[in-house]
Amino acid sequence: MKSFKVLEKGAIQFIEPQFCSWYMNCPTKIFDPPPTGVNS
Amino acid sequence: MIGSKYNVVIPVNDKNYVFNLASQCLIEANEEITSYLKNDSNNLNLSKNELDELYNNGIIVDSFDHEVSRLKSNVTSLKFDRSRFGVFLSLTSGCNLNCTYCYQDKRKKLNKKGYLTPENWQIIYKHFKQEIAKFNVKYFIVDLFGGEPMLDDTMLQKIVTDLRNLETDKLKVKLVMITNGTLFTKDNIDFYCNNIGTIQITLDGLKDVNDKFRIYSDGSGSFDTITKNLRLIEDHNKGDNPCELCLRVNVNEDTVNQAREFVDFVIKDGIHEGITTLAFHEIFSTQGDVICNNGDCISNNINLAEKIAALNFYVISKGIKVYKDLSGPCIAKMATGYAIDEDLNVYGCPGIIYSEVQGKLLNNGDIKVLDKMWYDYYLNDPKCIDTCKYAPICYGGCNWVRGKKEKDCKREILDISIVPKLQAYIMSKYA
Repeated sequence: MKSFKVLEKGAIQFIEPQFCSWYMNCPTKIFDPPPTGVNS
Repeated sequence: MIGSKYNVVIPVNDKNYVFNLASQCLIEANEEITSYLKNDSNNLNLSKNELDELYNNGIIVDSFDHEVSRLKSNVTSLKFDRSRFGVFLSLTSGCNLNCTYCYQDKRKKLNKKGYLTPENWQIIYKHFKQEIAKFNVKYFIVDLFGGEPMLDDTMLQKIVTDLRNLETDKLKVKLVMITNGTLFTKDNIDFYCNNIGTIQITLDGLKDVNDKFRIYSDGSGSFDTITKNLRLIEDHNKGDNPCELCLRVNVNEDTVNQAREFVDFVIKDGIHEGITTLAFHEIFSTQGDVICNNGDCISNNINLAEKIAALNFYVISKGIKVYKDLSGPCIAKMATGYAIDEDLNVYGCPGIIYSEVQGKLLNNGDIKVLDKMWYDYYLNDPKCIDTCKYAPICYGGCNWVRGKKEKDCKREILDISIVPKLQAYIMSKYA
């Protein structure tokens, strides 16, 4: 294999917030996962 | 150039993977790159194109200071990005269950168990439409919540229909419902599954476990009803318009040891065919615990966290996919996310619903802020963000809990749980 293979692209200006991630661990995302394959 | 401090190196079988918590990039890497990113080596002999690719994906960065400032800039932009709008909508403080633990236990102190009336819904609906128009909102998400949001089926169907009608080519509307799952019927199942994108139902294990925790007010258990309804959703999800069903399992030191048997049951019973995610969580402290104990009850149960992380491997061994579930900071840190209850009280965070009112929704659809904490929740960031490698996903943890006492650091938990979680995800999807 070459030195590395990108399996899921990143986006350095993308942070996906979520509802109440810490206390209740709700699964709710404020918007859909990005088209980079996160959570897909 | 240096490796990002937000990289997590994940060994899986004889391969190495790197996941960046800030960019969410995942790569499979050879030994040379892995050693370099782990600071075991200074050698990185890559072409300019390869270096550019790693740089553009946030795997290598200019400096630690640079990426911390970039992270803070990104999150600050997001805090005030009005094109995204998220609301926790509580339809009632009432619930048909009387679970031994209830995260929203402050609602039980209320003397009334009111429901969202058509009149108050019209005010909330007006507020939504005003905000969407004023800020040109493109993504709107509503989390239907309670108490138990399905207690008033007629009103809930009206609300869901109204919210769905807001959707246009320029506005994406996503609905989520957090329910105990006891009130689905053959008559309403298709409506809810067709119109609500994500439904979370909690079942805390096999019948003898679940029915110790999740009980009706007469003490009887909810297992049989919930599993019957999970089968209704399973049937629906075999059709053309499946919903996303998140089955949540809350466990403690005792019940986590029976979780594998529960996974076996879910598969044997066929329920897993209707499930999108199966996620185990520690039973957290309730609202009342946090308030009464001033945060002292928040402790890191490392042993339990390790057992929960290990469960992921059992889940994938049975053919159920697991997800990374490592997205960014809580929406309560955003100016564009808050909670509203049936009495038009407004809260900066759903964790304080029915306990610490921070504002009021007025008849004209505007919010009147009553407490400066409303602003502090999204303006005040703790200093740990400058140094912690988990800042992209934690960003200082829960503002509400930290406000009670600044002890809410989950670093130890993340230290032992992130790698196994990512290992399971990679094994599930790539290995």
